[in-house]
Amino acid sequence: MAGIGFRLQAMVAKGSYLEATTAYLSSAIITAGPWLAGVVALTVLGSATSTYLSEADRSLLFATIVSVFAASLLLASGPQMLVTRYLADRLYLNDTDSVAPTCAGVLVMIIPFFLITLPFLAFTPFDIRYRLLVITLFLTLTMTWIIVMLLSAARGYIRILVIFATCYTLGVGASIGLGHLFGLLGSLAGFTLGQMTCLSFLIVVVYLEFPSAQGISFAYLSYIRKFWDLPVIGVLYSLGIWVDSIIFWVSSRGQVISGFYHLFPPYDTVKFIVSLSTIPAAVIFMIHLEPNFHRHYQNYYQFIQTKGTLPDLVGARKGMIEAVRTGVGTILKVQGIVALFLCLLAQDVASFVGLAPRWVPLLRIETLAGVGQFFVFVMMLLLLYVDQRGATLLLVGAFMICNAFLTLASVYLGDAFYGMGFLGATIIGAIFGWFLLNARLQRLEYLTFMAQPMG
Amino acid sequence: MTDICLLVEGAYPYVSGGVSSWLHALVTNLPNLTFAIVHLGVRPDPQRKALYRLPDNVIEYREVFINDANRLNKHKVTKPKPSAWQEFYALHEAVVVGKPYDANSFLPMLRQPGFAGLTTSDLFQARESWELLVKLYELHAAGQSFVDFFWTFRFTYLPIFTILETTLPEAHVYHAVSTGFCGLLGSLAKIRTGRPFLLTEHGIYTREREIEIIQSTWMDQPTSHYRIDKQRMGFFQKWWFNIYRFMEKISYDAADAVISITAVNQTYQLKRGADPKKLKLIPNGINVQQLAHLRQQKNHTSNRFMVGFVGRIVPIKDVKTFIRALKIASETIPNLEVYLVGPTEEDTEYFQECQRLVEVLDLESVAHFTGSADVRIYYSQLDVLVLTSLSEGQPLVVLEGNCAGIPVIATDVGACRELLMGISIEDRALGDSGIITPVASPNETARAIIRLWHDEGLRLRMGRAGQKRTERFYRQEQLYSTYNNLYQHYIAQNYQPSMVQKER
Repeated sequence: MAGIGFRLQAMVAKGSYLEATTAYLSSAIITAGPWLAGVVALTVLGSATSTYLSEADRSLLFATIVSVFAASLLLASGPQMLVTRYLADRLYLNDTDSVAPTCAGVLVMIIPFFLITLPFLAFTPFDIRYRLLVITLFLTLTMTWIIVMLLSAARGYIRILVIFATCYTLGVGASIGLGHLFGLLGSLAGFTLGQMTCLSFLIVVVYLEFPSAQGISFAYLSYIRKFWDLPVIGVLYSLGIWVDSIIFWVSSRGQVISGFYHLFPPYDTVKFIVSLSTIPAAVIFMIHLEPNFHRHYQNYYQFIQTKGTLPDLVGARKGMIEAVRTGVGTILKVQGIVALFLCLLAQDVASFVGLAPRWVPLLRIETLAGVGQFFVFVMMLLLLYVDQRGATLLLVGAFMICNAFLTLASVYLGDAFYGMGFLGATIIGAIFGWFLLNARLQRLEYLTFMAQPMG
Repeated sequence: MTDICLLVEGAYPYVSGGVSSWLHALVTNLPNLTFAIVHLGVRPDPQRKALYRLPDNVIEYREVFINDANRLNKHKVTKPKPSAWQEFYALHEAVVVGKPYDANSFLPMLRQPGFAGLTTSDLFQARESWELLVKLYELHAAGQSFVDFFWTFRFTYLPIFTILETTLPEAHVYHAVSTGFCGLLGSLAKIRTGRPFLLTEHGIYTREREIEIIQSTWMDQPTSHYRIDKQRMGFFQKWWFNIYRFMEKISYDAADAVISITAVNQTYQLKRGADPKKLKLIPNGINVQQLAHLRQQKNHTSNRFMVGFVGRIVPIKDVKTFIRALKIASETIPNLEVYLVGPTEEDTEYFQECQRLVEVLDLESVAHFTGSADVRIYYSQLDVLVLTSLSEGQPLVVLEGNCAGIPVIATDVGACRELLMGISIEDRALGDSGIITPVASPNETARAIIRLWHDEGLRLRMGRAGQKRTERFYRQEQLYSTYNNLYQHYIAQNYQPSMVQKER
């Protein structure tokens, strides 16, 4: 008797449920970390250089480093997400052999990145040595932001921390030392040298850690077809946290430095202080919210793999929601107190960093906005965690657009409203993100299962 | 309009075997009728080649792939009415839960393509389908693995909905050659068009699937006797079990005629609830002219006693029991000569094991493997034909041997008993045309061989009974004329609205 029969085993095919999404978290920490280190380095440099550089040179150095940081972070944010996801998937499959070839594949990207800088090299009104130094620093930083992802995917945090701390110390030291001897160019060269050492160390560590494979691989680029939204999310988020600064730089209030750089030093200084002020929130997130969430998140996928019941899954999912609620509550309390203190002490802080008293209200507004921004960041991360890329895109897109429009509005409304745009955008973003995350978590089983293709 | 629409699953024209050759011969020998053939496959397979050339009276050939998920990509989710989701519970209860449906309320729900306005895409992609899934889980599968539930649900309703959404060629009569998905499709044709629906069962499709379900976890069980014990089944085994039972029930309910090839399978059909008034027995036939004259060619002067086995050398035929029986018989029968006629390539490992057994038992001078050969040469010389199968439907080799005047020793499986002893009183009056032995019993088989060796009169009586029986009841032409009459009868039947009338 003929007949199709059926193969039960083949039919009850397993979907690919478990996503290697936890890597987004480590990558986020790993970019935020060096950025904070950079802020510290800049602060140190800012006071140290006052002894041997002219006021004009100092502001040019400051403007150069801030602009190059911002530009490299923006440029790297897209490829970063792609590389992170690609490597997380590879490592999830225990394919450590693909790390080193990917590193080589990333380093080759320096060529197209260099092409982007050609207009700067050709058309800017600076000394050719300065221009070459700026381009070197820019390319080094861009590469650093991407290469560091390779190590973060492999969870080599401590090593990364040590490398950054050492090299930034070296960089700042060299900058001061060479600055004494050769002025602005020396100072910039010293700082660049520190960055280059840092990048070299990172590459060496990648090859030491994953020595088994040689060659070069561009496989990560093919991820753009399936994960096109990841680089867009990366760019939109970076733009989202920089667009208010950029608007101030190019507005009528911005200062033109050396005929090229646009900056608005009071705003930049305030934002540096604020980004340092969110360190307590970051710590609570790392030691409290994330591990808690991760535990339930793991349970959830464990139940899928070990054939758990629906109530098992619902329980794990409710645990995730609970972890978010209590975590957010704790962060809000602690960071609220920190923000409150900073607001109360705003006058003293302002005078300590040399900020004019008229910008004290700006500092207070931005301090509150810092709390909001941190929540946007947390919501974005958790949405990526549960692989809700569509929702993440929506969140960072809305945040970026709100920030752009509200900041533009605040610029037109005048001094008293400065910072209100960013504050508004972060509040809207945090609330929107909270609703998105809750809505997605409420129907997580639906999203996990129904998204599985049948074929 | 086509006369007959044949519904076949996983067979003609792609797979050779009993059903395919039966179907090909039937269509070829009824050139006065036109046919449409609908073949149910699993999913498109470009490597596959047709093994039969479709006869000229097949005017339409259609293929439906029941597990082709790519089909879904082409469909958009529609906006079904909320009531549609409610009605789905009735379908799930009937198909999966195993609750007997009420024909008056349930069958009319199947009148439109799809189900209650739901499409396959709705069922797998619409938002509401998740709520449905969760409710069904809580109602009928609480405590089970949700992942397994989810995928089993999908792989249950992908084929079921494919069938529910299939539109068939217009035909006077629909004829399915098994229950299962074909039977369901034929039932739907009946419910939707009011045209007659015939069901022919060669084996018992549902029972074969049930054995597969049991084997899917208890692989260690001996293949000879399956006991289907619902208590011991896992949740998802019961689930699949219920699906096949549902498709069988609806086929028996909707069919105008439930045809079996063997009397023994009719007993099963009755037990499973087929209406006795619908049952028909149309056994397969053989070409009597080709075989009947072989008897005269027998070389009666030979002093050898020739025993034959005709069939593929595969485990289901239990050739090893035959070889062991030969060992026992050879100790009594000095002039024993044995031929094992049939292809050996299908299971070379098993064939080698059989060869080794022949060596170990020191039967090399007695038993000969011929490989594929013209069986007629052997039929003309054999004194006894032996069949030791573990499972059979209606084995043509028994009929062929009998037709050639050879008594047959066969195990008590499938239709063997009725072929050798007769079904009706008239049939039985012809006398036995062979000896029935238990499965896997070398001693019993050897005893039967010795008995026939010993008693030439018995041999001749049985041979003659076999010749008469096959000439009377198992002529190929009879099969074609019976089907021709059956088809003509149902083609002439008026539009039969009985199942359609019951509107909601």
